[in-house]
Amino acid sequence: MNSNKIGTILRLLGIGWYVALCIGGGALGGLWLDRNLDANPIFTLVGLGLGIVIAGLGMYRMLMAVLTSKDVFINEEDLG
Amino acid sequence: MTRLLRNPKTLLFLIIALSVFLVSLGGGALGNAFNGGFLGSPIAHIQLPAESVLTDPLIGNFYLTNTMLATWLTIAILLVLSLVATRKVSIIPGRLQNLFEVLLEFFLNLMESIAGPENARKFFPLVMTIFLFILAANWVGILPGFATIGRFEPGDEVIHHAEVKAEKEHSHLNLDEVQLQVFDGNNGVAILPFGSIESVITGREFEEHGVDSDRRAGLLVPFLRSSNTDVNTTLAIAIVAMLMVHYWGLTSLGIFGHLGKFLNFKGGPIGFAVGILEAIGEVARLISFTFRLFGNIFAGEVLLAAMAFLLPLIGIIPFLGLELFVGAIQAFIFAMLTLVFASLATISHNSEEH
Repeated sequence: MNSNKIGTILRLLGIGWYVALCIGGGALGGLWLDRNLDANPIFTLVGLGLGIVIAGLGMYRMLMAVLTSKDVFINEEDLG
Repeated sequence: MTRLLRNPKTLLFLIIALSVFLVSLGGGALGNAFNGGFLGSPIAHIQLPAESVLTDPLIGNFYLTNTMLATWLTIAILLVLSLVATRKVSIIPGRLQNLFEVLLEFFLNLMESIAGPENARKFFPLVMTIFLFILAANWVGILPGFATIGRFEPGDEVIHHAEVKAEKEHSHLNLDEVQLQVFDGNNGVAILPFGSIESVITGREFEEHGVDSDRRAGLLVPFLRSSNTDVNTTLAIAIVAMLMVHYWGLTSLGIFGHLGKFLNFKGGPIGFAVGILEAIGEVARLISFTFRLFGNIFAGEVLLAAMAFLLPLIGIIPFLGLELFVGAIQAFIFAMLTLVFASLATISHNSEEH
């Protein structure tokens, strides 16, 4: 396997975690706020929605960064 | 297929392999239902947090855990290996020196092709250290003696701990769910020998009837347990890796260049939102580092424990091979991800976009 592919694969590996953290974190944060502020289920829904939006935007950005770069060869000479 | 079977050597090999597998199957938990089980031992007690090797804390509230001992053992092995390999460095390398040279060269070449020659040499010490440590820790963790030899924890203590835990969770402890292993003899070190597969009693049986005077019921708390089955170890490596990534980002881009990726006031509201996304991404990286390694190695240990219960002694060998493979792959992924993150951190935000 050539090393450019390894770089691409490694960069794609993190996207799933990012999405999981955003959606899970948003929903759990909302749940915690609801419990403490007694506002069930407003903040859970807001947190979940916010999480999904952030996850989508972040995923789009990460994918575009991989797709638009000619290769993932992160070399000083190439960038100069 | 028929031609293969006609070859006497192949046939002999197949018959031996099949009989060995059947012996393993009959000696395990499945065979126990048909009066077999002569090789098996009770299934290992699996728990998420690392167990304390000593009954009392070392200092204050600090316990010496079995994963810490395994980590120190790994460090000692690596130290001795590297000392021996570099003691007599010569132009015509010896076997050990040759092995290390091949390994280091392979990595340096790979890193140079991913990060460029200059950066690769800067990142090399950390990336290689992470790779070697995780690889050694994972491979040391499947040696015999890990998770199988340990301290004896008496049954009353096990039940007491379960009660405290149930109280914390506001639930009632069901003594039928507490499993205890029965050991022979009265010495401090606990081992479960072959054929002890039925030496298990529940907490209720222990409370009501007890055990014979020459035996004792409790749990085996291993002296050694694979380091990466402890989330603290993997989190520590991940924190070191991410700290160094940000250090390299700061030194190559300057404070404003690097922090500007996360707190971007120049690009207007959209630029600021993008900065926040980047910051969340950093947290996600730390979490993914920690739990990818921990999850893979812990799952491997659970798989080995289950297979040692079902197919003891022989049938477990393919799974040990699988764990060797998983250990190497996880070490490689961790090291290479550190390299990729470090490379991304050292290029400025604008050049990444174009």
